[in-house]
Amino acid sequence: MVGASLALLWVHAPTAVAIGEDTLLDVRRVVIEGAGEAPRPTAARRLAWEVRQRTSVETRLEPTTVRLDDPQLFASPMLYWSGDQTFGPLSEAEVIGLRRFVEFGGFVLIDDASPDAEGFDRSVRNALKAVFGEGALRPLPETHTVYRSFYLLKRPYGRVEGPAQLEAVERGGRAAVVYSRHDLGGAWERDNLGNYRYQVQPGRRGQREMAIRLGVNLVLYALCLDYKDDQVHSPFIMRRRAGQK
Amino acid sequence: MEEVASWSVKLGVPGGPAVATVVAILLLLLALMSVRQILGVLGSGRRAALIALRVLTLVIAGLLALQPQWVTERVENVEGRLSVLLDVSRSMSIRDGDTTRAERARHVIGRWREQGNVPFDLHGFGERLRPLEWDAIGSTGLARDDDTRIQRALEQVIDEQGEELGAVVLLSDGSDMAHGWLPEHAAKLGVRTHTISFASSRSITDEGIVRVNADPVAFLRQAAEVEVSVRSTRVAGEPLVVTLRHEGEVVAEATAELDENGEGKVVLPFTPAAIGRAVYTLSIPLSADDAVPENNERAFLVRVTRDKLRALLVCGAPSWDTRFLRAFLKSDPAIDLITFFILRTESDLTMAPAEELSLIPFPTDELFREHLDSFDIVIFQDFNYGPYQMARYLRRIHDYVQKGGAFAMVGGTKSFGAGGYDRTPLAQILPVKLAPGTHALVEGEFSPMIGPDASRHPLVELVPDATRNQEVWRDLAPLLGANRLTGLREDAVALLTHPTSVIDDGSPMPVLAVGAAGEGRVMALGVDTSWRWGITTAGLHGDASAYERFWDRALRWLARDPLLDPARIQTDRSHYGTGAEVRGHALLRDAAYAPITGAKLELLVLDASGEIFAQREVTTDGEGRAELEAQAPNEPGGYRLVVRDPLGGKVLAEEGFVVEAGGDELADPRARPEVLAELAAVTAGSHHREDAPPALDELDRTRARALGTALHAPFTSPWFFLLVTLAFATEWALRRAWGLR
Repeated sequence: MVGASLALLWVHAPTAVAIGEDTLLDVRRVVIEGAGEAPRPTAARRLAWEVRQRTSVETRLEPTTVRLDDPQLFASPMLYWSGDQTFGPLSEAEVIGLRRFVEFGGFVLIDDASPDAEGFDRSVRNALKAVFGEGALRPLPETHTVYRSFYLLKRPYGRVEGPAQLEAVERGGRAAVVYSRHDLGGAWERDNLGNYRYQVQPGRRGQREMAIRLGVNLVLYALCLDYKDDQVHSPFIMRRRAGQK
Repeated sequence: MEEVASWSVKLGVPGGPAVATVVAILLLLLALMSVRQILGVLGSGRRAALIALRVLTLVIAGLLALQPQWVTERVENVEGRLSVLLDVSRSMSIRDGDTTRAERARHVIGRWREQGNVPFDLHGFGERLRPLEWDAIGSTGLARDDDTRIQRALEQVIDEQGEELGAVVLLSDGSDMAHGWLPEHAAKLGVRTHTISFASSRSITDEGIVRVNADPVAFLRQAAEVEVSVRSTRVAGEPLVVTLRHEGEVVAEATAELDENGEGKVVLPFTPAAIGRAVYTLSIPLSADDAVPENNERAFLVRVTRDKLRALLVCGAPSWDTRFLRAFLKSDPAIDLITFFILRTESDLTMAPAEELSLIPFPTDELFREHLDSFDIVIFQDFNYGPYQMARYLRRIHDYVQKGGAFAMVGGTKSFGAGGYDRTPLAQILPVKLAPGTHALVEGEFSPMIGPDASRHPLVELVPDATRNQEVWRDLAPLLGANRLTGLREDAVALLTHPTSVIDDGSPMPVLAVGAAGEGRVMALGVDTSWRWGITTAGLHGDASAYERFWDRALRWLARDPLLDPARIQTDRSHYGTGAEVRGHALLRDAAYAPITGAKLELLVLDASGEIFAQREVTTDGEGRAELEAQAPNEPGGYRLVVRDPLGGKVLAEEGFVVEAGGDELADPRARPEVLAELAAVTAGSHHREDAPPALDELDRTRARALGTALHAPFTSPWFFLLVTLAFATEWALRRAWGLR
């Protein structure tokens, strides 16, 4: 029933108003040479759609793709990097491109689509080590703003239950690169008929919805950063957290 | 009379002392080598003769090689003009005898005039030197200068008189106000200075505030303090009660305990309650026998600002534009930022009950009714007021700006005409005219142009060099789309314009415009992609600083940072004595920061209530600069120096100053005859007390005139060459005769 109503809403997606398509938020998908086909080809579009439907953020429903060594990398400050297999070391140009993108304010969401295997995870960790140095990737505490930038969440979710924490590379007091080993895109993906493509595991109640909410939170965090840490919000959030217990 | 002023020795040999050392060592070695040979000669008389001849030969040879020379500087003492310098600072107005110091000094000069045997030039000096006409100076009102600068006066009289100056006669109490000045500094000026000190032997009774130390800037509603030094001439002085007042009300009181020198210090707290300039007064009790009542009260001026700029940023929706602007504002520790994002609208389907969301209500009433006046700047960024029942608050924002607040609207699909702001009170204050309708947008990528005559405005002058600034703007990443703006309000300035879109009169469509609304400032930026001047430009050229520089200047300009004011006045001091000359200069530029050239403007001195105390005309030069001179009012208090346009009465620039009855000049009324005695000693002059003034013809008014230098090189004479040859030949002949080779 819930699935049907979601499909109906998908068909009637709200129209975005913008000064041209290029000013909309673009969940740009990262393309890595030699990393194979995108394991979750519609995940970025699904996330853009959910964000547009649920929040006031105007998103681009047909996200673009970009390479890390492309000068156009800096045309839009958000990247969605999903993979499910081993890839080789990043080229020098890719390392520099990703480092500068983050230093100048960009946000990267990395999503491991094969969290049960080690290939993509090992390659990502090597890549982040090459770009940001040893130990830059650290667990994100459950008190982080990511878990309350729009929805109040208690832990990370995805197609699989995965680790209890997200990981992140922090720059300038913000989580600039967030790494999920929960296959977020797998929970968001739908086929052309609007049906979810993958079963969530272990299939807890609301698991998929929570994965969507985490995706929304990540986009809102990219745009609002620590807004929810502002003093004016604290009383409201504390009150509701107390009510959830 | 001609005399040798100095002499020195130098060596004529090329290479100087280094070569001389080498030559000396060689000659010494030569002498030692020959001694062994001579020691073999029988008979002490013969040995002595040979050694003497060898030494004589080597010494003369050494002198011929090194060519020592004597340089003498010769001077001639000639009689020059006599300049009489009379101290006209306010400390000379102290009546420490039957008359004031200035009256007694005037009497001495009068006697010299009557004697008439030595002509002299008469100058007055205090803060600077100026000629005095004897017939024009009276016995009263003579000592009005707020400062005493002896060194500066001597330098100026030397500059004026040049080589004609013979000596200076300086009449003063010796109380010089220049921090760190010592009489020995005058020695290098090379002018003979005779001094006459005016310091009555009669002791005076005085209690005064000697020094006031307070920061010129204080923060609103934050505790500040002023340190006050007091002094009493009474031997067994009672503690002094110091009272701090603001607008007549007592702010604080403290008792200063005095040490054995009669000096004491207290610190008084105060907390400014209003933004702007505040004049505080300090006072100590006035006793009946106080010789200098003027120094019992002092005043100081404080510019009261907020410690942090309080900014309210309201964003209609999260976007990259809002994200980067908020991140920039949050990163500045000098900005206290309150942000509100509209995270969801009524049409959004959150798929969750409210308790699972972190959303909070938009506290419109609290922000725009209760706390609006507490903000220095309000920014609406892609925010439409309609869905939030905010129409009733727009008039309040309008009034807030009119009273001196600042408002900026940043573009997007919910801003300007697209946000429904046409025909609202905000449309009346924005610097641009709005196109009605929700689709009042211009799509497409573009690079904005710097508006005509706007290149000097700080918002677009990102670097000082004009050519480089054009390059900086050219290198910025293009913007994506703009809000359609149909024109400029009166007095607004278009700083950036669209390269292709035009308004009704055919001129380029404004993209960035600024202006004034009542007492406040307003800015309109009709794009929502200024963030591309940061990260996207950095991707192209490696430099993201233009974005931050632009917004930093925008915020500071909106908040009226004095450093970014188009017009400003700088006075030579912040404190003046009653009736003193107030000097300053003004830099006057229009709203686009173009110099106001060749304009005849009004210079006014106003008190806090706006009453005019002085008025005159000033004219700006080709750079928009004007020199300002006015007379300080005779009533102590806080005043403003204002330049305004006589047509329309618009105030272009103003600066505050304080008028004190006493000031630093009268803070310590004690004379310093020892300073004048030392000054005379180090300049080869003579010192005299006022009760025994010299006649002018008794004073040495000669000065040394340089006649040039003379070089004496005695060892260039051929006689020395002949002498060395003779000594060597004699030694050779004797050696041969006595059996040596």
